[in-house]
Amino acid sequence: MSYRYAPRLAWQLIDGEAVVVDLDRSRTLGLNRVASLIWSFLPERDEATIAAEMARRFDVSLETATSDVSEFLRSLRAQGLVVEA
Amino acid sequence: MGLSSVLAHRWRGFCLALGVAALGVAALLTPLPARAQSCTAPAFATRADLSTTGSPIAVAAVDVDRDGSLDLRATTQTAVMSLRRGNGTGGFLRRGDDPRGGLHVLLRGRGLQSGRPAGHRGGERRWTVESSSTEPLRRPPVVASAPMSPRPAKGIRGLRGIVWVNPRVRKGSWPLWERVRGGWPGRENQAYSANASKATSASAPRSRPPRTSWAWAPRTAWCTLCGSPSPRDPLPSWTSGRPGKPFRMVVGRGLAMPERVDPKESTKPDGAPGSPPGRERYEKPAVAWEEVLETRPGLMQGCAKLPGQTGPCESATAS
Repeated sequence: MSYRYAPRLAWQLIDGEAVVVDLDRSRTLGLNRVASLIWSFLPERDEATIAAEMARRFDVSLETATSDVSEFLRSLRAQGLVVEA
Repeated sequence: MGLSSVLAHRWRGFCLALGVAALGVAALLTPLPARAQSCTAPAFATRADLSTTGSPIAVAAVDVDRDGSLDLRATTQTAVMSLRRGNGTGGFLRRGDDPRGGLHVLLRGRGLQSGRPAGHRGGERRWTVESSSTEPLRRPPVVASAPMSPRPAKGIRGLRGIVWVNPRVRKGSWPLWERVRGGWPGRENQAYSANASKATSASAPRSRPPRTSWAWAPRTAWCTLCGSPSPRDPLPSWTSGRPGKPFRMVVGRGLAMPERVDPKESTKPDGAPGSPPGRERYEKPAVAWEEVLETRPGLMQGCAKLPGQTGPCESATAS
């Protein structure tokens, strides 16, 4: 499944950390390092590809990465930060 | 010591205490306006207007030519960067334009250790030391440019702080500023950023906030206190904005920051982060922190004046 950023967002990668401004909910969020990388991949890659990239870059198995990426993207979607592409 | 001398000593002490008390009572009884008049009014340098060819985007007070006096530097959306050199006594020399416009950020201070402000040009993701034929560098910069993202200027040696302001944040909101390496921009390193509708600056979070106010910008950007003759203790204020649009004026006094250079980064001349061998340590992806976005649109309405008017709004402070 592919996602894209919600329309009313502004974000910037700062020192590998994504800082997201959610204008709709008037809040600012900072993602941790792995989450920021996932965030940066969002518009280009689908969920499976992102998980594979996580498993390649980080010390984590593909199964765990797939589960974590899926869970994280679902939480982002629930918070209105991403929408299905 | 005889009894008479002891009595005399105590009498003198009593008289002294009585005199001090009388002075205190007199001070309390003095009308307030009279007391206020006895205070010395703060003296400021004459405001210097810096007319720009196009709409000013960012203004920085910086000793560009390193002659010991503060200069004014403004960027515009056109291909002209305006400069007024300070004469060291609070005034400024004739304006000069430099065909290096389009910078969205001006970094004041020892940016890139060149003594010259560094800029971020729109569309590029690099900090670049300004250079021009009219202002030759007194000494070569440590690095001429450095990547801005994914590791922005934090990785540049000699650069203590950068504030990135996302230009997509809607007008009326406080800008998004990010944490910077080693703390917040200090007096010598302040990054000013602006887009077409606002100018912003960094402030130290645990210090007294810089005085801010809003005013209207005609087709000029001006600097109120830039005439400080001493570059060692500049207390600049600067403004920027679009014609007819409110903008923010900041009198900056940041905190001094300790130098902090990441040993891993210092091994690379361009400040690029070093890649650890093997796979990196994994952490479960999550939102690390969340803060309420401080939106204060009321500040935008804090100075409902027409362009060209002067008055309290220019010096008003906002919390």
